[in-house]
Amino acid sequence: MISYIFRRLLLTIPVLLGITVITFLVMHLSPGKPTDILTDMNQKITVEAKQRLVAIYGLDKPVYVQYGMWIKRLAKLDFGKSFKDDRPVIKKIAERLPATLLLNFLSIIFIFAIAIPIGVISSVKKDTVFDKITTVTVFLGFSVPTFWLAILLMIFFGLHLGWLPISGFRSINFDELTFFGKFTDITKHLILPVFVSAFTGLAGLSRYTKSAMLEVLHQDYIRTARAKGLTESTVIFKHALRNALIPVVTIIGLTIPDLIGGSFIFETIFAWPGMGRLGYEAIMSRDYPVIMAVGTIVAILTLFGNLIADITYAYIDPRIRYR
Amino acid sequence: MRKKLFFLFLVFCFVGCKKTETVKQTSGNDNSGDYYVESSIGDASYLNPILASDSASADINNLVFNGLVKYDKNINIMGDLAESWTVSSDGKIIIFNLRKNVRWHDGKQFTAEDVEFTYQKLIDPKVKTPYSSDFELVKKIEIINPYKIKITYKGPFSPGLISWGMGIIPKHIFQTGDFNTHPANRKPIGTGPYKFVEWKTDEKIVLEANPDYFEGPPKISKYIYRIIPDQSVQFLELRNETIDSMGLTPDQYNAYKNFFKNYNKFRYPSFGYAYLGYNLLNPFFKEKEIRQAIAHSINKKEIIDGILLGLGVPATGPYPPTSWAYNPEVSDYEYNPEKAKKIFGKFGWIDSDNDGWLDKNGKKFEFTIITNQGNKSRAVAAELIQAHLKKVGIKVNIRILEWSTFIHQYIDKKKFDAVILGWSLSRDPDQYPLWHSSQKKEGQYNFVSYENKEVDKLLEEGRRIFPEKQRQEIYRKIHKILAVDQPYTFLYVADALPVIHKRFIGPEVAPLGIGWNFREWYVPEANQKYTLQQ
Repeated sequence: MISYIFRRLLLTIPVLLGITVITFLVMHLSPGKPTDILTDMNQKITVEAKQRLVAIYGLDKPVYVQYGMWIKRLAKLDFGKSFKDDRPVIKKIAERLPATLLLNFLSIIFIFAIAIPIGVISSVKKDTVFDKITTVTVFLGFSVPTFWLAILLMIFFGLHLGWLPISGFRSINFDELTFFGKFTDITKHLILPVFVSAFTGLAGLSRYTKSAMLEVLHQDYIRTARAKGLTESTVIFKHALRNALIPVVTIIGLTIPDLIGGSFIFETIFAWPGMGRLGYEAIMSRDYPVIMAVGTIVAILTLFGNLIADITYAYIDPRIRYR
Repeated sequence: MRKKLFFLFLVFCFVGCKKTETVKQTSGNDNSGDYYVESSIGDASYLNPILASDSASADINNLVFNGLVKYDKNINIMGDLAESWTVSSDGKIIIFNLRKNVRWHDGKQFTAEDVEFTYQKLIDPKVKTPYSSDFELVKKIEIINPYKIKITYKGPFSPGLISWGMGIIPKHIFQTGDFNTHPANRKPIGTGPYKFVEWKTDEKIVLEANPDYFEGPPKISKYIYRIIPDQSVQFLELRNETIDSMGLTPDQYNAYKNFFKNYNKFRYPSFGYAYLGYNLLNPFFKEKEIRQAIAHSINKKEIIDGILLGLGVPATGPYPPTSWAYNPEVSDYEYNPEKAKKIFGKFGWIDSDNDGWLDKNGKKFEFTIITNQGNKSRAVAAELIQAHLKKVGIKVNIRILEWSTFIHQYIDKKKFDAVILGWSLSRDPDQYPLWHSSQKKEGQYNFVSYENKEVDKLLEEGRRIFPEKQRQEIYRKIHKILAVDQPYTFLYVADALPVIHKRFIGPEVAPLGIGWNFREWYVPEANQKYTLQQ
């Protein structure tokens, strides 16, 4: 097992390098330079001033030299400085991480807590009214445009009822609040985004659980368990569910990068100061160091998530052994 | 003419109107207090006027920093950190007399050394400033005494005066450490009416009134700049009265009346215009009569109604109506397809094969308008122009391109027939980079390749002389010539549509816009919404 993990870890190095090379290339192939945003179509900026900025940012060097410089810095765990405001990229990411983690962690917990029971119940009570209603509901959530749902909820709960704030992470008088006040303030700001993100994310997991459960329920050992005279709940939760959850573990592994990746649409609609907006704005303004840093971190987490999924597989399913 | 020449050689001496403000310090009941909450789509980048080039940073920097000069509400230059100034008769030397009662937010005295330092940073090749161009024309800068500074230009350059409206930064803060990454770029120390309090990335920037401001403290005690990246969400926040002001889109402006029952709506022409630019190297557009005929074929009113819901005015030339360079005598090309057809006919463009399109020597009158992706109103304008020109028999194709491809592969390389774009203008009417025949190289802004000896001369003269009256004459002439020459068909000037919460007393529309007297706005004590808690 240990040697397996070690081998897998070694293998991630070339994969990761490959990912960074491709990201770097695609980034440079896409039209436009970071300096364009400030200099294009600005009468006050002469051609000479443009060239000066290009040279300061090192953009006049060949792409492979720029990549070499980037890798060299990365070896020292330095992601460089953002072109937008000259601050260390790692600091910019750290600043936005808490808001994103909080939101995504909560919504993932809700998704798991709701989707798995839905999947189990609708497989056991297949083709009943409950099954049909939940199926329609989760697919509604899956197909409704998030921004539209978010704005409708904002209008209803924020504007008409006035129960919840419309957008943002905290109120403008946050610093003046007591500890308890701060807690309720953030909770209030969290309700809508967590609800929308959980509601729109239920479909996948509940469907996976349902189909896995259906498959397991037809197995001989379930019939055996029932024949032994076990109660229905023991059969479902102890014998069926534990086996059905094995494929679900893969999904858990794959949600790890989502935890910090953030979603651009969400964070934009809710004015949430998170990673999704950082990444998106970096792409739009061709802020190369930030794009590379976010890309690399998400790549690392994806590889890591896959590894975790594989390892937990071996742990929970005795049929699987790695050597 | 003699008189004009005589004026040219006069010694120009302006004395900035210095108000001796006696701020009434009636303790307590002077209506100061309350917060002003504004919102922005994007976050700021640097709270340092030398490095920042985005509008969010500029919004904050304008409140935290002062330049030596600024515009008054009628777009005339007045003193800010400079009390007065003199310009030498040859226009090469400007001497600024600085205010003596100005302190930085950390208590240090403001002096001429700060001005010199700001200049040095602007021309330092290691500094990431986009503003070096105007200051590279300065030959030298000398401190005469702590409150008097002499600036010598290589040649007379009148737009240089307002370039000193650039925010002056404190030498004692920035002289140590790397300028581009200096921590003060996120915690600015300025001289302005508002002091920096905090900046929560992507959330908000908070400023508070500077009690020691040299013109007297502002009335509104806190300024909060919220970052709300989605416009429709901004509008919901506005309806919820959680933000106090916002720039509306035309359809938001026309929304239900009761959305705005607690807001005052304002409307005034913005400082910019949209245009259809012709590549004058293209044989189709060589004769100005043809371009005039195209102008006659375009129904600007329909464009304004369609795109701006009527909230705009037709542009007649390169200056918007609020500029002092705007020439009110220039009348617009009336929409008259018949007249246009006659002109086309005179130049040999007739529909000889009856296919509905004009042709000459077997060649169809057909060209492509390009514009950039992501700007809906430009795309719609292109479609409307396509329909208008179809009526006179000109075939227009439309191509919409991603911004940087559009600029670098098409505009810069002059690979286009016609283009729809817009300019947002500086208040100074100097448009040398746009129209001078020396500015046609790749990456420069005269990409339509306009060339007119008279305009060249006028542009050069406009840069040389200082008195506004004479510059006005020059720029009005330019306005008239460009209207006749039609290197662009100037389409429209959109209206700025801000709303401000009703509890604020003082907002007033002037040629400069609306925020010019922000320092004097206040909320009567009874209506104050937020109170400062300590």
